[in-house]
Amino acid sequence: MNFDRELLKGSISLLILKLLSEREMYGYEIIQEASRRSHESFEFKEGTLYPALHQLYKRGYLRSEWRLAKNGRQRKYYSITAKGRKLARERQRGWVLFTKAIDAVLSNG
Amino acid sequence: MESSDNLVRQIISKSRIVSAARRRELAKELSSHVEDMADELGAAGHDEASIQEIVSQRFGHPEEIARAFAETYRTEQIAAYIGIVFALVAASLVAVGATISTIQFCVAIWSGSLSADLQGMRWEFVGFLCLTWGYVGIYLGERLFRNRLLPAVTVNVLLFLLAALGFHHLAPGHGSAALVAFVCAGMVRILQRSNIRFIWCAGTAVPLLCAWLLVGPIVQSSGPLASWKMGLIVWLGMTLSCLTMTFLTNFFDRKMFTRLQGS
Repeated sequence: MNFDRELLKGSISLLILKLLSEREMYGYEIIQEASRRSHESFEFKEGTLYPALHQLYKRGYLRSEWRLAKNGRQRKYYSITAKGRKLARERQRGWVLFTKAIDAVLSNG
Repeated sequence: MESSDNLVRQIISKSRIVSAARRRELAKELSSHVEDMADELGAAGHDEASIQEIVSQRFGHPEEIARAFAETYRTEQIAAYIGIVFALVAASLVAVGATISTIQFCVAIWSGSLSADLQGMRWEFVGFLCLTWGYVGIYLGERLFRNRLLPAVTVNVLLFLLAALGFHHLAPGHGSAALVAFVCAGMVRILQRSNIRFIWCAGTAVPLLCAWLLVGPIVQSSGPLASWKMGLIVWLGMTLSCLTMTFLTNFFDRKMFTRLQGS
């Protein structure tokens, strides 16, 4: 399913923070995991994911580390910081309230 | 994988990321991602051409991604821009000071009046500053206003007049030399936009001549030099200083500002 690009862009940091709050991942893995969990409804574009990852890293919500994979390839793993966890909780609360409000408006229509 | 490498290169070069280490790291991260993607697509039976097409599709337009990275690292870019501007101003000021001082020193030795001619020059630094402002200020204005001369000149003239008002109160009697230095360097920068070669040399000559006619020589020799010779030396000093600033701004343009804008 193709979601509105702007809608996806606005929620990407929440999705990244949520996924990384469970375990550390590298960029490609984040895309695959989001796609798997959304039953392939979400297809993050790399051009959206990486700038968002870097933005979160720069603001101290994520940390990163290079590691060697089994196939000999170097991968940059991202993990969430305490500050990031706090933001993830706040964003999730905000998102729940937001979707409830939207649902309420739509269902009363 | 050449086109994928090219895609990563395009993103990095247009991203305006200042730090070379960060650019390298981002290139490594994106390349590793492309390789993962290619492996998976290859395992799913896609051929090389199809892999390239999917990679390009998934990544999106390189300029758009580069813009998103530029937005992420904007603070660093602004800091670097300010740093480069300060470095250019400082380098120009040193170059102007060194050029004019060398000429004065040579003339003083030649005329045998070293001590006499080097005296009474305590306000000379202001002259160097105004000369630098006239040239580098308009150059920076051109950069700021996308090569439009009128706003670049207007802003600089207004700021200069404001500063000159303050300076006039602090050091009455030295304003004309400062003004002439500013106008000369500014004229040089403006005339350098013309296609006529060496016309810019008139940028220092004409304002100096006008100042001479209106208020007399702007720099008086305290030694035995005739005032017309002193005028010629001032013109030579200003012209060579402007030439030095031309080389400096060209260098900064090619090596620093262009890279910051994303090559």
